[in-house]
Amino acid sequence: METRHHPKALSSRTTGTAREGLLLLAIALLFAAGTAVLHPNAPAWSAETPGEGEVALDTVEAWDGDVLWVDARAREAFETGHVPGAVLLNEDEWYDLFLDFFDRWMGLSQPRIVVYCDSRECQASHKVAERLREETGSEEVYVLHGGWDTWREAAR
Amino acid sequence: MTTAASRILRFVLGGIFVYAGAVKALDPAAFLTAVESFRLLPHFAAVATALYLPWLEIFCGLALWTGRAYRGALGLLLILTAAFGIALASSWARGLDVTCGCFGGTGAANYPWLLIRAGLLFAGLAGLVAVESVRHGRKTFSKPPQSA
Repeated sequence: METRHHPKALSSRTTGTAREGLLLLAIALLFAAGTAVLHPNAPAWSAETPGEGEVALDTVEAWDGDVLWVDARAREAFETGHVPGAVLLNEDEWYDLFLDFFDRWMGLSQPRIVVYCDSRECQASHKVAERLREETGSEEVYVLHGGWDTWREAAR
Repeated sequence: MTTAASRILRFVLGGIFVYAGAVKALDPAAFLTAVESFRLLPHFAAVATALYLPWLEIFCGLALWTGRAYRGALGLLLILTAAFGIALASSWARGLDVTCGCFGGTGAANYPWLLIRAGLLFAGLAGLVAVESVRHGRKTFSKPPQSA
């Protein structure tokens, strides 16, 4: 038995689907614009602005008091080079390294903790910082905006 | 697929997208971290994605629930799910430690599980497209020609 699409019906269906898609895209755009303007935690458009829980290197350098640097990268990267005085603490070796971190933390007077990984896009520093906030109960745990790349560039 | 089964599937898939979108829309800065971890977009585009994508998911999910703009939502969700699958595969191939950001959390990505989940979502949406095609086919197909 032979059947055929009615060309006008098909064309109108395709146009209708496209119109519906565009409508949804437009509504989402309106709400996204509203979020960008009104949301208290809307992300910054500039890559230079530190994100949530991050801190700029200039800010850290201007701080008074103790700062404990935490390197969240792999051991090989840490051994190749790290921020002077930084302690290695990554998720892969958390239980082996945490005691070292804890000793250093307790030896300082209410230090701010600054965690870093390779660059702005890496995730390790955010994950380690989140875990440190939970395990130490300290609110003074930050992620270095731009990570090791930023530190190296500033040191040149 | 029966009408009842397709309704349940619509409800479940719609709920998944509304929930996933709402969690991200509540904390766009955290979702930006997830988007940037894929290292596919420049910062500006990543911010735009972090602000826009959650709302698109929410409204497409609502469209699945209500049946309004239903076919448009299905088309968009198929594209989004396929794009997410490709982004995941690309990140896995590059050995990146990404944060899925799918339902808000910042846990480490389990690539096989994430790809299976994206595949299941895509299959579900494709199933709904198939049901819709059959349903509309019945309405728009012309009658068979009369035999001589």
